[in-house]
Amino acid sequence: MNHPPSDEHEPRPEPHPEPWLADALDELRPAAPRAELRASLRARFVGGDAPAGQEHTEPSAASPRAPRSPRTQRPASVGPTARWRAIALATLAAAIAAFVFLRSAPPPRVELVASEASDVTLDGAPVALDELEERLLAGATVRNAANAVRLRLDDVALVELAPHTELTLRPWGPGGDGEARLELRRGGVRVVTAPTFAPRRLTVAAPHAEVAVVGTEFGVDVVEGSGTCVCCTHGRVAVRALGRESVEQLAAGEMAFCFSSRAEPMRGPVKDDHSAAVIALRRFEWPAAKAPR
Amino acid sequence: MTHESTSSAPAPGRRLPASGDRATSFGFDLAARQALARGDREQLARLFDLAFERVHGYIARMVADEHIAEDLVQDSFVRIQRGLATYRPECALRPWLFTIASNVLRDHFAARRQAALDVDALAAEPVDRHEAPSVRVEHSERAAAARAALATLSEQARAVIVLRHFEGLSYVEIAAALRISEDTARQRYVRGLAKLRVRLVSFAPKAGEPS
Repeated sequence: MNHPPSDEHEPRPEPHPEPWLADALDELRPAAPRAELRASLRARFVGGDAPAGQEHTEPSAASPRAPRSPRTQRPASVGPTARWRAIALATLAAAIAAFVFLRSAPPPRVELVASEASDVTLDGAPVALDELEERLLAGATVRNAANAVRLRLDDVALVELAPHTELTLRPWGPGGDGEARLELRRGGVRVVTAPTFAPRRLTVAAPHAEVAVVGTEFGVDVVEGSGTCVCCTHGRVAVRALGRESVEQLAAGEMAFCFSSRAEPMRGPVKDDHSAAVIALRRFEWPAAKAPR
Repeated sequence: MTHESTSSAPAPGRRLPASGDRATSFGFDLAARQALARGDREQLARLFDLAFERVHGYIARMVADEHIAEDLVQDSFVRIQRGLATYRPECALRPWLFTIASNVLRDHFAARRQAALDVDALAAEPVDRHEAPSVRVEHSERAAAARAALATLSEQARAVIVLRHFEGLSYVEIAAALRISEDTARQRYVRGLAKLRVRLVSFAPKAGEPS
């Protein structure tokens, strides 16, 4: 039986399984790894060739991988000067490419769809439709009352603000470069992305959680005084609860409730009424050639 | 914020316990770890010989299928090999290795969430109906019950139990490997044991019997 070691600096008594429980667990012995696997993996790990007759033929992920560190594989003919010259040229080429790309990349756009300007206020004041986009992109705080409001970002993401929502949009850069953030303070948002969303990055920052879009549909709702509920109905989202380092990966049909107490998030299936509001956005008609999921 | 859970090697030194203790580094002293970081073949061979069964045991207890376990073990050692380029010799080796193995498992479970749920569902089914002799060697009814009981735990709780009970890691090392706090590691161990106790109570000695 394996006895776990005692940690230093741990004043609390060490929890140990009872002998009968430890004995039962100790019978849980996995099958011994195949000798061929061990030999071939060892040969590649150490950097030599596989032993004769034990070349690895499985279609595993290891076969195309480099056998040793780049340091030992560097061709002897490439000296430091040549290497630095190559790095400098590559950097220059990348800078030129980035400059050309950024100059030609379109700026981010945001539109109000299926809603009226009268449904929203920006920084607490009514706003005219013709200045709505500019002020949203400039970081104005959006509030809506009893009517839901839909915003379309760059024709690749549809964001619906639930009634009585307050949020600020931090858009991505020209051409979708960088990360866009929706800073949700109260209410809720449902997000649906178009197939052309990738490789953009969008994060919803709620009071008790951050939710990263990984090409998906999801909803985030702030429950005052309790926490933030994240529901994923398609694809995946990555959720990090406030004050916690671990990231929860939510797949379609899963929810996580991030507590304001910073307790471990509670996970479970998405409730029907929560998913319905998100799924309803699938009927949104994206511009030509950008069909909804 | 991280968008994909695709990290392999932990960030250099991030939350990894500093090593001054050879026990937390498979007996590698600082000079040996420095040689390892330089790609010394002798040290690489030594590390492999010391760590292979440990990493395999950890992964094989975490996933139901031995073939998947083998794939994940290979993934782990490929990532370990790549990660040596950024490994800092002053950090303990053992939690570093198990961090990489845990990352491989995390990616696997995230990608195959449904498969993981199937594993968890084992507890509700008679174990022998799911067992193929080539998949796993069960030595007794008690072993089968133990495996089913372990499968009912969450991935994180299962990882804590395996790392603590079978691999003998300290809470500090487990916390580093699973990116959780030391207290959380301890709590999950205690709660995991409690659940296992309930599931396996039929194997507890009856009152009056010697334990």
